[in-house]
Amino acid sequence: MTVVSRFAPRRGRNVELLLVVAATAIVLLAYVNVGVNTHGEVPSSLLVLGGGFLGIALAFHLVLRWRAAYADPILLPVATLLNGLGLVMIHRLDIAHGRSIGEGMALRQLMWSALAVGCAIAAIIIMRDHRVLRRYTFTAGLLGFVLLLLPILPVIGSDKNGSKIWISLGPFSFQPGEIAKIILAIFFAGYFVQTRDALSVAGRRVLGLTLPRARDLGPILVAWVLAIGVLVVERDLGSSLLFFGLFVALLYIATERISWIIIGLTLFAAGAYAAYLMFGHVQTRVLLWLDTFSQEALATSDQLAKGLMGMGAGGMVGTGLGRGRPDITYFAESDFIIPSFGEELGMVGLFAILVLYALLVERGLRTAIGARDGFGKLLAAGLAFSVALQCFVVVGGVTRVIPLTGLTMPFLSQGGSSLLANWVIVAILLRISDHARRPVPESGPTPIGEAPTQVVKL
Amino acid sequence: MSELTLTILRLGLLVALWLFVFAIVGVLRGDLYGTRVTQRVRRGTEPSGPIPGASPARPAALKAGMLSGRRGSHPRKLVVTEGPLSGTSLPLRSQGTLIGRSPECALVLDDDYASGRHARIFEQEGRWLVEDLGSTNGTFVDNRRITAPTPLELGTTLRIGRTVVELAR
Amino acid sequence: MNAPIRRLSTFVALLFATLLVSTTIIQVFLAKGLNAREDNRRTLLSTYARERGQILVGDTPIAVSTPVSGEFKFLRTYPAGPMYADLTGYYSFYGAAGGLESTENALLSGSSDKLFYRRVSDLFTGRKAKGANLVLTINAKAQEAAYDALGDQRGAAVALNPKTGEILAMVSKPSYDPNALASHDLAALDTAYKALNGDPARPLVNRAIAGNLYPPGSTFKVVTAAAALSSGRFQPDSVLPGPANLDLPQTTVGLPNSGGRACGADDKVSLTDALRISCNTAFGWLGMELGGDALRQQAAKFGFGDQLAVPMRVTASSVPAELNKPQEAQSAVGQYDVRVTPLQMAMVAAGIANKGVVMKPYLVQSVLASDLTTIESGEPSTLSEAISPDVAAELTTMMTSVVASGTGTAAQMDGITVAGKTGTAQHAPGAAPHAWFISFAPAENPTVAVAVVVEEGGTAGNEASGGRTAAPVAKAIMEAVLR
Repeated sequence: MTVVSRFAPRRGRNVELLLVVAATAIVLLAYVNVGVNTHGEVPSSLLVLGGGFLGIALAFHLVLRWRAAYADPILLPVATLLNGLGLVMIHRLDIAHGRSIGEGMALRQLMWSALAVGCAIAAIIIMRDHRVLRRYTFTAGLLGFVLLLLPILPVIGSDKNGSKIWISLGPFSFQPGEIAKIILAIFFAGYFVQTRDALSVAGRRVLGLTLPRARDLGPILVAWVLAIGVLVVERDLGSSLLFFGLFVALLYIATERISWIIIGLTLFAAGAYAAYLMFGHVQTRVLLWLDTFSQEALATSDQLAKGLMGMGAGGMVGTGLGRGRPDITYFAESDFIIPSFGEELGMVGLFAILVLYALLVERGLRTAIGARDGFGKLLAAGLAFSVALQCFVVVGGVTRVIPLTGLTMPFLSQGGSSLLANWVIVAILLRISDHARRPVPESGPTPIGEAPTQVVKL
Repeated sequence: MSELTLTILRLGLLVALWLFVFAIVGVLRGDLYGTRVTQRVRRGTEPSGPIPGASPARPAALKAGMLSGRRGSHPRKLVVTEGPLSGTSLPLRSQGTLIGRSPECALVLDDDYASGRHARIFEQEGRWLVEDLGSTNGTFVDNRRITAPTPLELGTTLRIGRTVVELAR
Repeated sequence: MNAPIRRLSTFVALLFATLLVSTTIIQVFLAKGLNAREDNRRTLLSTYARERGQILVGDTPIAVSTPVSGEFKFLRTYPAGPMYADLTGYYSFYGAAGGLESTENALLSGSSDKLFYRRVSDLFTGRKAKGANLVLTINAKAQEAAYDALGDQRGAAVALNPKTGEILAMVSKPSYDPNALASHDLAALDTAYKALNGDPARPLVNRAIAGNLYPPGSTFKVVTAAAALSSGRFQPDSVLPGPANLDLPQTTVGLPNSGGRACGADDKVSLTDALRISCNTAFGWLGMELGGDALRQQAAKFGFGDQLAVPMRVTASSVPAELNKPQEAQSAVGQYDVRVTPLQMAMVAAGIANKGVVMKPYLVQSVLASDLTTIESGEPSTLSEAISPDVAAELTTMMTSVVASGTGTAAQMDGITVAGKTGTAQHAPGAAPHAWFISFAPAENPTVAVAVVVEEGGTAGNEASGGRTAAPVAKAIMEAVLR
């Protein structure tokens, strides 16, 4: 007898364990590379640090075995590897700048990593079902917009690297946009699940395209005004693009109407162009982008030029970790960590890193496809897409695909808020994927065929 | 440390990174073929003929247990066995569990044949009952369209549009 | 909702594909250009981090990288200072320039493809990677003699081994101190460079091969004589008209002799005597007789018009085409628009010395790896056969008479027969002439050929002539090689 059975018994926890161990080994290999290339010896702290790092990752793994046994087995190893590579690069730049372990940024980043993983573990344990997040749809909406606009406030908002996307509270500085990314994804997912029916009602057809009704344009206009506001006031194309892109993507998924994308892109392009015409700082950014090596651009900032020269110096296989000069570029450990990797690992290494990100995003989107509830689908897709978009904005910025912005590379870049946000994203995706991959409970036969069903299609 | 060792370490890191990537791709390849066709021979006690439905591969012993042995025990959750939300389960609440397309429902159906507020499951005198809330396409218990609150037992099928739910412990 | 998520996945794949493409463009296709940028500090640091090969004359380094503390690991120093500046060039933050440092940069820095197998073997043996060393053909004594003899005069001197083409000496004055341009102190470097680059005497230019081209003056009569003898119509004792002033057709201006007197009795002179006393009218007449094309062809056989690299690029010397009669007469005595490099005139002398065969000049004797094994060595090669051995012998005899009893007596050496030719080239109205001398010795079996030019008469000014001003310099160089 031929039987179609669901292929579910593979939880993948053992695969995950192997991959986490492999990821740790790769991170340690990278660490050894830095050690022998800068000091000529294998660092003595290798086993301690390696053990600690593996411990953190294994703790997460064990919590998954305990609380989310069916969660996707790829997400954790990939995030672990990226986080670890970022740590190694930051440590390597500490050495270049002559900072000791104690005063260096790598130690802080390691503590933040531990804290971020701790938060992710807590999220997995506390949040037994991602659907509880839906209860906080409108709270999340309010909080998200407040966070997004927080850096504009005069006292706590601070200007770093030309963009006002930081807030400072005493000794702590913080990029609220990172957290806002998650909170807004929750809000958009919850909101669109409720309103998708209304938003997908067809309006008039123009040029073969079914447009939405005029009265449904409200939300997208609000989002657009906010996005352009972020672009102009916070001087940050990246946050603006990320936030608006997330909105349009989820709107499209919820309504399945391509017209929303066209409306969104048109609005954004028009707004960005108007901002370009009206504001000097936007023009400067565009000049730096299009004509990086002109005298005029170099006089403003040679950061991008230096980053590009770093990548050029790396060529195909790179100089080797610890043998290049990524420290010549400013912000080599945060916004420009990708050129730092390009220089020392070469195109081959950078490709591997980009593919890792692509795999991470793919698992997120696969989770969205597998999710059994609309909210979960939208949330997983939104979070995964936000990671993809952020990678694009950052890497596209340093490789001159789009104007440079001040966003950080998820997991790699130095910065606590970024790490925290991205590990929480991984936690939420793991929770949704656990739900999505959990096998269907067994049940009795349901002989529907015999039912005298009256079917009336609405 | 010799230059050769350094070069091996340097290139080794790149190779390791790519091996990791390929390992993941290998794992995912299995994932792409999420469903597979297997040959199974049923035990003799099974009813003959193909069984239409979602989970024919279920061991017979379990089915027997669910249908007969524990009929008296109290159901605590609702399990979707068929339809787009297949596999979803949610706890039964004594004050009532609302099923339908509206987002306020406990079980939100993504189903064109379901109404906004389609049906409600509630507890009365230690028994679970289902009532239709004036749906367009009706609510079926064991393939009979119900017109009044109808008791549900463990294993009774409740069909709403394309979705089938059952009570479970 | 799955269909739009799938489409979104495709879009995400596109985003990542874009990033892979942009990365590839930068790291593969643009990398070379980015690395070559002047403001690329990484390239600078990495080139300074590797020990650059030495440039040696004999066993003595004239350019060497010495380890220093600081961000830049090695300082390029030139122990001989300005004496070899035009050969070595200099290695600065703005790149290598001016001489072998620039043309042989790949070898010196160790990045040349010729060093590929050595780099691989260095990898396995654990040897520290270093650039290759260059050993030059230069004769240190000759170089020093040329440098000292030119003194503070502007000009250039080149000495060749006529049998091989090896460059034995090459000096251009004024010279400069390459150490100032190799400084790690950016401000000092800028000051030094601005001063040198702004100097009207143009010390950074190598006058021997790449400076302003000079009119060769009477030294070109050797080429004219070679064309006359090669034509078969003239012999060394052929009698030519040699008036005090040669009437030129199509113009009222004639071609005068420099002393204003006739070259011989009855305004007649033999070809040998015409060369010995540097008779303008006789050679002007000869130029018109032979025609411009014959002059051009003879000059081309000596290497005029060739694009040479020694390995520094040599500006091609030239005789203009489509000359009218008066221009032919003037060109035959090395005036009008005939323009030469000192190296080219040295090649003329060397060609005659080497039985008519011009050897290709070269500067690098051998390329040695850091372990002193030879990677490459310079081999003599023939550039052209300019004249027949017979004509060469006749010219040698004629040129010997120039030094023995003609205009070039200042180049005489005890016990050694010297062949030579003077030149005094007018180049601008009112300005003192350039003094020239080309020669080779010993005449019977030449081992050195020399060309010297002293700009605007040097210290002698308007009184200068090739015989008085340039010949002693040539003599000093030849003595340094022969004794």
